[in-house]
Amino acid sequence: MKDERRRSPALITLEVLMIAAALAFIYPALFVLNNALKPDADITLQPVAPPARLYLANFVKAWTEMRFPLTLANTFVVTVFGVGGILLGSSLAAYKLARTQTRLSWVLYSAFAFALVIPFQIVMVPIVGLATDLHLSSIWGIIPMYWGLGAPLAVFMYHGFVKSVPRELEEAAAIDGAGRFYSFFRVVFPLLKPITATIAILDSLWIWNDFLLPQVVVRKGTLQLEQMQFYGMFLREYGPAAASLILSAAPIIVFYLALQKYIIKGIASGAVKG
Amino acid sequence: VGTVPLVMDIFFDAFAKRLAGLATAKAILLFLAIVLITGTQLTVMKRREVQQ
Repeated sequence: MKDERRRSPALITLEVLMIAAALAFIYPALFVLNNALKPDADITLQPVAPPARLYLANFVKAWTEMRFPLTLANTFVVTVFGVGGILLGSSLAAYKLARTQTRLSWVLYSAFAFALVIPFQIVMVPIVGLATDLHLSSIWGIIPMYWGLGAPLAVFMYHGFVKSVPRELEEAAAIDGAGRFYSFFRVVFPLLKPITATIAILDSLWIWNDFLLPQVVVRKGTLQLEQMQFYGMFLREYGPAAASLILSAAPIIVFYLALQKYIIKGIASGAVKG
Repeated sequence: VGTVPLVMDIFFDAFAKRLAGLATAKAILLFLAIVLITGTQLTVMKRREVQQ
């Protein structure tokens, strides 16, 4: 706030509104954190009051009942290999589609763009059937499903970005004797870094937080699924449930905060061009 | 049941009631609705673009 900018009443009103909106959005998260530190009786009686004393039994219970280390490893593996596969496959596909000017490439690209409007719920039932037939109903099995489900958006975003990479760079590489794959991975792919970062972050958040696909295919084993056990038909363990929410969200929040500057930059530079 | 969104209705049919056929039929209807809405929107947007 060093430089004394003129603060018009409109700007101040806008700032106050934005701060109010930010508080409204952060409040539920703080509410969960607050209640994760209280015994169940206190949560039911005084859900808003701050914890009377440090109470960590909820976290111990959530940690053991979720089998947190194993579950975290499962979610981590799915997210890393899911996002990695999407980035590799979609960047190659989008590059080739953007550089090829044939009717077929147009049809294929349109198919990817069209798939953007299909919600997951529409393909949910056939996916479960296919998963059973192909023996993909496991933690490892859902990774290739994410490759397919994430491809439309990633291809769409890469396709728009590849157009901004000058062809001359590849021609220069070809003259120096680089093969197609060499020139893609050493020349083009590094230039796609901003959009790669954006897609990586968006897809990491999506896969980490995804509930429906693991629920219908594997039913247990990822962080989002293991939280369910604290909401029974007759029993609600709000304390451990809140603790499990904090435990599952913490890694991806740290990841998001660490890469925040790329998110804003990448979305601003990449997605709009489409 | 009166306030269940279509996608949740599909989920309940497919995985709670085990009526995969009914669920996929509803999914097709949802798909057609989306295609119709997206198609209309795209046509309208394109027409407006030309006028400007």
